Amino acid sequence: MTTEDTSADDEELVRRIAAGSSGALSDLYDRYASLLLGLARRMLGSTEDAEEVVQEALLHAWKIAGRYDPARSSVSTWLTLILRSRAIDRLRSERVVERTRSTVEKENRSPHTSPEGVRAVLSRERRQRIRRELALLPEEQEQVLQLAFYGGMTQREIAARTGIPLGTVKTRTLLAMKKLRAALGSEVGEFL
Amino acid sequence: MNDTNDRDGLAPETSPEGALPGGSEAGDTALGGPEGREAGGQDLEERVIEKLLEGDPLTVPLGDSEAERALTREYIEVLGALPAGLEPVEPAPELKERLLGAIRAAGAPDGGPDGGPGGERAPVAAFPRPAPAPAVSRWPLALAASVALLLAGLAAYLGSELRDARSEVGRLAAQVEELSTEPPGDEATPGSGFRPAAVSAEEEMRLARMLDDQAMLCKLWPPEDAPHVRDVRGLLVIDSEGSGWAIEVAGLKPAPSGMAYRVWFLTDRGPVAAGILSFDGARAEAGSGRVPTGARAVAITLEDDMDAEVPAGDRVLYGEERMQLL
Repeated sequence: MTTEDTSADDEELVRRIAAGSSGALSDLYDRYASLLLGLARRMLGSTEDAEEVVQEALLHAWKIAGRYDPARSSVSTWLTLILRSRAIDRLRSERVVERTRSTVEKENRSPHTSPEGVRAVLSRERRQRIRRELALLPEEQEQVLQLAFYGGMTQREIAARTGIPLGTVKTRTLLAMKKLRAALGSEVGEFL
Repeated sequence: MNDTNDRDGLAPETSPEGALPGGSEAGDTALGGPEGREAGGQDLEERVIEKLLEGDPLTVPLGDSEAERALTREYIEVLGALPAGLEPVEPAPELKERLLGAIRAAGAPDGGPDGGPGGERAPVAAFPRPAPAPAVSRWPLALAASVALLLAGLAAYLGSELRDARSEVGRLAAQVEELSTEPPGDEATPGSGFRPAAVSAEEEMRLARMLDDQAMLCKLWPPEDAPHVRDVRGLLVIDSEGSGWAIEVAGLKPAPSGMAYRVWFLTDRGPVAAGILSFDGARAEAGSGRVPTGARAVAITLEDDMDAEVPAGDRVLYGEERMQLL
């Protein structure tokens, strides 16, 4: 199974979800719930909040599946960004903001318990590759990227939080993104 | 990890605030180089990254040119790939049950077949999928929503409190609920004279969501130092999911030639352009798309540049207070 196969399968699932198939949503859940939960936990720092946001995100995906545009993003990216958007909303609520910001800079070392199989192997390879590329980024570039993506912070907020001048924050973010694009270009290109 | 500022040609740690966009920072020059730099001093790639990080990658416009669209798509995928580097977390078994229970309660997807989730419904040929008409028409709700919006806008125009509008909306909603329980066949009867032809099924759904008890209202007021618009009032209605909104404005004169009133959502990440007011007689209205994440206020400004990413013209209306509709 290749990434292209996965992408095509995912799109078919979303088509079926748009047609009202809860079974297709169940399949999509099986594919992505652990990824989404990992992301939500990383952003929110609480399993309880993370599970709520995963449910919210997938429920939202269910509702808007008919508006999914494969020309804009892959399904995995679509789901990821839906979840991120929901998690950012929650991050900005008073209830979790302080707890989250104290953990956002730390790696979330939860056990890997995703099911084995071809998809799991592909996921593991992809995970290792992305980690490798992230590890190649200078630490200060990785830091601003993580605060922007997982912390949902604006560059101005990052500057205020870290004490780094805004111009430097912007420069570091741009460099990090450009390097990741160069490093992951072939991988993301398969979705385009 | 090593500090590689020198290698990257980065700006010094003490670089001034606001180096991008604008291209005034020394390190900025090293980013794009003269080849990719646009007239505004910021190259396309930088602009794409900036808009994705400062806006919502789910909804930011892909761009005007094919080059920008392709680059934006590519960077959206780069962002989408980042979480793949995290350790996955196996969800508790009951999470899936809760989700499936929630979709049973939520009913069919937007624009999907009516009757709620369950087995497979019908094949979908291609994206984007047109929204089929619901088996039970919701036109009465749409009609009521339109009337409600008009009433609410009028109430704002008159400067009255929204209690009156909510009361009227509630009364209309009750009437409409009675109507909507009529057999579907009656509604579909040709010549019944009730169904507004201009209202699509999708629009019906959108407006119906604006009538539920989670919809939010926000009154828009002119600035105190703008006497020429002191009688202008506006009303923003945001539907229960934040997936749709509408603004009605009363008392506003059409924009001068070459200018337009632009709507902005003011978010924690800065202003997000949300459309242009269209005029229909004495009323003006705008509304489409999802309310951006982190929106805290809405503003309408008079602008001469329809492509500008930040407001530069005079502010005409502003609102940040949200209230329950019903």
